Amino acid sequence: MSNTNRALLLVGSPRGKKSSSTLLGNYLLNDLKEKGVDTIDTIWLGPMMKSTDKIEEMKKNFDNSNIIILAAPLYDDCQPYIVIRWMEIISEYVKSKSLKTNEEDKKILFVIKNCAFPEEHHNLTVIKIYKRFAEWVGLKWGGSLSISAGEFLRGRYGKTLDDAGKVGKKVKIILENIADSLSKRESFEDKILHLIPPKLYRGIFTFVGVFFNWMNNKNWAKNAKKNKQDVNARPYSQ
Amino acid sequence: MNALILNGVLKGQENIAGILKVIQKTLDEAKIKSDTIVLHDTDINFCIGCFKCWDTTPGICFQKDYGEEVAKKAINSDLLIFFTPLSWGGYSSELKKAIERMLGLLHPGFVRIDGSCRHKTRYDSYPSVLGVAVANKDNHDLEKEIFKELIHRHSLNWYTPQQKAIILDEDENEEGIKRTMMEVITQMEVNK
Repeated sequence: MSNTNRALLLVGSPRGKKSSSTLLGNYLLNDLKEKGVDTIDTIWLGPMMKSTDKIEEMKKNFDNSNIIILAAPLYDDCQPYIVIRWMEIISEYVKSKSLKTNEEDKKILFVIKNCAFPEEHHNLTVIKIYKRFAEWVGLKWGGSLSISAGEFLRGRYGKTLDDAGKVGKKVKIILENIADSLSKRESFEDKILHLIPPKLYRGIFTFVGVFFNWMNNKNWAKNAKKNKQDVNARPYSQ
Repeated sequence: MNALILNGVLKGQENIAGILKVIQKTLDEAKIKSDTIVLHDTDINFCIGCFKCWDTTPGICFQKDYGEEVAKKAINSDLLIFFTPLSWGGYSSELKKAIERMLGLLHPGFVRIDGSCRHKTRYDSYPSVLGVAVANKDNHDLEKEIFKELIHRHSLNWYTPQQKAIILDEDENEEGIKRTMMEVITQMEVNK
């Protein structure tokens, strides 16, 4: 087993640098650094897809790392296109290589994903897909962090976890625990983190959830109106 | 009744194109008019998550490529067929790229149905969805179950009147494919 741990962060958000995926992935990468892990690189999968040179560079970084962190949002109940494309590229690439099969020496894959909806069940299918992929290409499943109501982090507006107050603090603690496990090359659990407590959408608290939805819907209508548009438009009606 | 087939086969996977021909033939026989888009032959960029299709030009993606045509055809079809190689239980990248570009067909607002948040509808009706995944000998049975679950979840969020997922083996013979397709068409009642 190699003594040096080297981490690679892959950001699968099509929004790129200004995204919750970048925010969460970078925080974990920094935690790993503080725990003595060499951090190799951060690769944004969107720009990478458009350059053959960058794809080749990604493969080299993949070879040189033994902890791979994939941070991506949930799009249409599964992975965004750029993540699926990356999975296809890697599965094709590893066919020509003999990856280590010893459980101790396998590269570790840890997945962070966030979803706009507040319930955890939206995230469950994609985790199964990622696990199958890990097994297929010979990676050790390092666990996952599923964040629901991820929009609360305001990552797309360039906010930090410090800006997110109590919620941000909760996320930081979990990321630190994940870094602790990964730095020892141990798997973490499949953790679900609710940024809005589920009870606010159930029972006597239902009105809170209804209020959140009402606020969300009102904001979209307001934003469209600002652009002199009707949020309810049906451009393709026949 | 008209069906739109989104062919998500990757370049170099033409060996499974024969299966699609049988599917098209079966639809013809069931009097379902079909239109096929070979996605790897089209110019479609992926969704960049800007949400302009929700607040700037509601219902229309700002990216001017074939993705717009796909969304327009999809919402005006009765049956949407997702044809894909089985990819760890999910879609191929080619298929997913096209699906993402249909985001504007939904409304950005949230609504709660059966204890779960979903986007609101933009249109009065949405097409039924049939997911057809082609498996090879390396695909695990678990992936087949995941694919069915994915189509189910996806359909809930897309308000599809009917949804079904089938998995065909890449070496399945014509008779087997036809039989499976006819069964599905009957179960989904899409030829009525």
